[in-house]
Amino acid sequence: MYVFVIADNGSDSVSALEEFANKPKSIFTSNDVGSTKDKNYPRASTSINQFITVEAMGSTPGFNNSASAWTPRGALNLLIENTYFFNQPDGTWSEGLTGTASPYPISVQNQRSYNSFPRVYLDESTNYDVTYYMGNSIVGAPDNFIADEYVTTTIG
Amino acid sequence: MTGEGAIFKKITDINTFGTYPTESLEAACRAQISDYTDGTVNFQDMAYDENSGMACFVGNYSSDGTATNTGGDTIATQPIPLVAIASANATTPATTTWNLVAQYDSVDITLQSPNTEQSGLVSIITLPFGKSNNFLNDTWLAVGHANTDLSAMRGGGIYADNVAPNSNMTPLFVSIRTDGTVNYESSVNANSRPSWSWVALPNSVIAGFNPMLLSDIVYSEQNDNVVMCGSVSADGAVGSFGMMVESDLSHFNPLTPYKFGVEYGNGAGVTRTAPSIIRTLAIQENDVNGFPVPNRTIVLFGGGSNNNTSPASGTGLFGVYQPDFSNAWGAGKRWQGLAISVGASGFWSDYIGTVKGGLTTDYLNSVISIERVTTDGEDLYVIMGTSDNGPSLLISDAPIQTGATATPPVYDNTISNTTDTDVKFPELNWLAPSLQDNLPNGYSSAANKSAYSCVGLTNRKTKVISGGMVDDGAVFPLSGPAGTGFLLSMSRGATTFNSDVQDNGELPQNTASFLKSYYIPNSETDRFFIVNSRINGLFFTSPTSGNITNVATVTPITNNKAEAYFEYMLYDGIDALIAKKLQQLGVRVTITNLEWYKQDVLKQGLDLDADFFREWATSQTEENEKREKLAEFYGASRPQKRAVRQEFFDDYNNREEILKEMDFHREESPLDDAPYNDEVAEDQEAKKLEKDLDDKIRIQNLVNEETNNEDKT
Repeated sequence: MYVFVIADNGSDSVSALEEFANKPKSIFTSNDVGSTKDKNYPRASTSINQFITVEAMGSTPGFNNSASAWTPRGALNLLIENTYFFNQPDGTWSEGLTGTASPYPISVQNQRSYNSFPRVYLDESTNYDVTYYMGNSIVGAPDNFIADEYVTTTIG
Repeated sequence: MTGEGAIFKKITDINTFGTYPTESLEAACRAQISDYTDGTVNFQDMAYDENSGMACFVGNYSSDGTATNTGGDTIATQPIPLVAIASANATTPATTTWNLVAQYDSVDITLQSPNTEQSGLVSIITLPFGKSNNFLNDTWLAVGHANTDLSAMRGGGIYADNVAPNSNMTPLFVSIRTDGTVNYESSVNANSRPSWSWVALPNSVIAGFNPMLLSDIVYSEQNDNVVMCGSVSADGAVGSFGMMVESDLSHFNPLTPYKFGVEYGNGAGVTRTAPSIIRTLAIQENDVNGFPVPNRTIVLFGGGSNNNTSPASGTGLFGVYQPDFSNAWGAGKRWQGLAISVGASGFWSDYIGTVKGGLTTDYLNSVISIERVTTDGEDLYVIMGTSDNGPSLLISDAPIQTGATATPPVYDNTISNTTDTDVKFPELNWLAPSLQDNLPNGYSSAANKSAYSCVGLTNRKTKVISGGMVDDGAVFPLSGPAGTGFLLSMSRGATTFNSDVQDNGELPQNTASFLKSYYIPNSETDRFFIVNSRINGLFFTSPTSGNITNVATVTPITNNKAEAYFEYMLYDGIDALIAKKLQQLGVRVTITNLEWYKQDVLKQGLDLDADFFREWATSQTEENEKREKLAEFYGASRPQKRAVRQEFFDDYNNREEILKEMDFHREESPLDDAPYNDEVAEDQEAKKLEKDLDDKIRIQNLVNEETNNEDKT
């Protein structure tokens, strides 16, 4: 089992953390998110006489985001050669298997609703990747100061 | 918590001085300052120089009465202004190298009375690198005030000593270089332009006033001059006024380059428990289109005309000032107030009361700090102060626009010297309720607490707001209760506040009266300084040693975390071959299936003997029979329909079945009649011949037709 963690805990620069959001990024980087910048191709491949079966995938659940209760709006996808495993019904690209459908870790509040994970086999000499798409910025979305104009006159 | 802007919720990677008394600053004080009283160093402000990577801290310490000044006189026990340059490792306080410069010559050798205020440097700014000719080679400018004997020093007895609540102080203004050189721009020191040599701003009356305190300074890059603020005392009386000071280093006699004016007295008929003071400044230097110009410098100022917890609400000072060096004052003054009187008139009542629906107890009693915050991508004035209902906060978009009052108003960023001035805040909001709702330590309704500083974090695009105790309307008073500073996270647009960051048990806040925060430029993780200080720093009683002042650098974080897991099984070597075989067989590739298959193969290999082939053949036969039986059951073994011209072969379609049936009857029931007779066969033969004949005729007709068509062409 491979576990990927991205955390705003001071170990990564803010720009690297923000770079991770809103695009599929390989999870095969440990926490070295900086190394995935601008790379969107399969990062792994099976060698000769290797055969991989994908058993399951899951990620932190949650769609809605707020400063007090942040959630990643994350989704995992499998990239095999140049084809994503999870697509939209019309064949267009999809963020993937959401953390809400397949949460990790599983808790009383977050149960797996996607419990029939299809068996995916990666034959030898197959390029593949597992991508994680995080829709919400991990440092939060900055707001702008908005207020009404006020005009006054000095009094001396 | 309100709103939904980005904030941080915790600070981590906290680097502080270390353990008292071996911590870097205390150890340096003991080593470098001969008259240092242990545990008394106290910082009030700091500034970081991006160019050198150094930071300069200012404050004071308590002399033990053994030091001598350059004139050889022994200095009595008293606070001494201190410049502390973090010359190496400035952003890691635990390992900082300190260059400490005690300002012995700035103070009178005898501690004068009244001394409710203490000697010290209280505010410092970093000059923009390579921009100033008037302060060539200087990196920082700092202001404060120092103990002085006014009656003796100022004109040989012409002036009297100050009277409480005023103190016998005189302004102190120094320039500082990274090598530790400190020059007195103004002090009691000889040839250093003492305040009694200062002249009046145009159309200002200064006779009978003693410049007393300096609390803030801003630098005009467009004019290479400074504006400072503070307080003047009425000579020999309890009265005092707010003071503005500006330099004109390009035009004045080098010995008298500073001029000052006074406004906003602490009044008559009220109990005057604190000096009137202009405490804080913020500057803008642009025309109405936003372009930097030298003749449109505007300085926002704030302060208080009496005690912060005065009996009358709304004594906070707030206004706009245009320096004479930027736009000559001519026959008037370009210095006008928005809130300058007590109670029902002015900015507080007009805006907080009428526009925002606040109570009179929400009016500001003192504006403690105005900061222009730009480093998070917004350009805002953050106005912080006190009110009877607790700490107050206003935020305005910057820059503001001004123009002489007219109908319609014409904004040209001048402040009129003949009439009132219209001031337009592009966007303005009063946020005291939001601030108070999120303050820890029971500060929500405390009238003597205020935010002191606000910084913007460049990468996170959020803000830090910090503060704590304010006392008596003065800058650096001796008296005052101990307290605990506060630190809040505030979203960039001030829609969200968070106090989760407040108490993590790691900052030495138990000795702090207030906290100030300072941004470290070019930090990828948005690290910032936190300086904690005590209002009555040198005379604290608890704890009895150590950590009066501490400095920390911290990294803000949200602790947000996203996790993903990927469960897989890697088969390699022979296992991969078997896995592939299972896949080809249509068998699920699982460990169980793979092990079963592998065991089966291994078993066959190990028990290979003569019977193996027979067993294999038998099992193959059995399997084939089962497969055929199933296929027949599901109809998979029935003969396929012929695709074309099946009528030619209809007679033979069931020939085999008929023969089988005939054989069956012949073998099983030879006496029964066969299921056919000659008549049937003859009839079938006749039909066959008839069909053949019809086909031949049709073919011949087609051939004839084709031939005729060719002849026609």
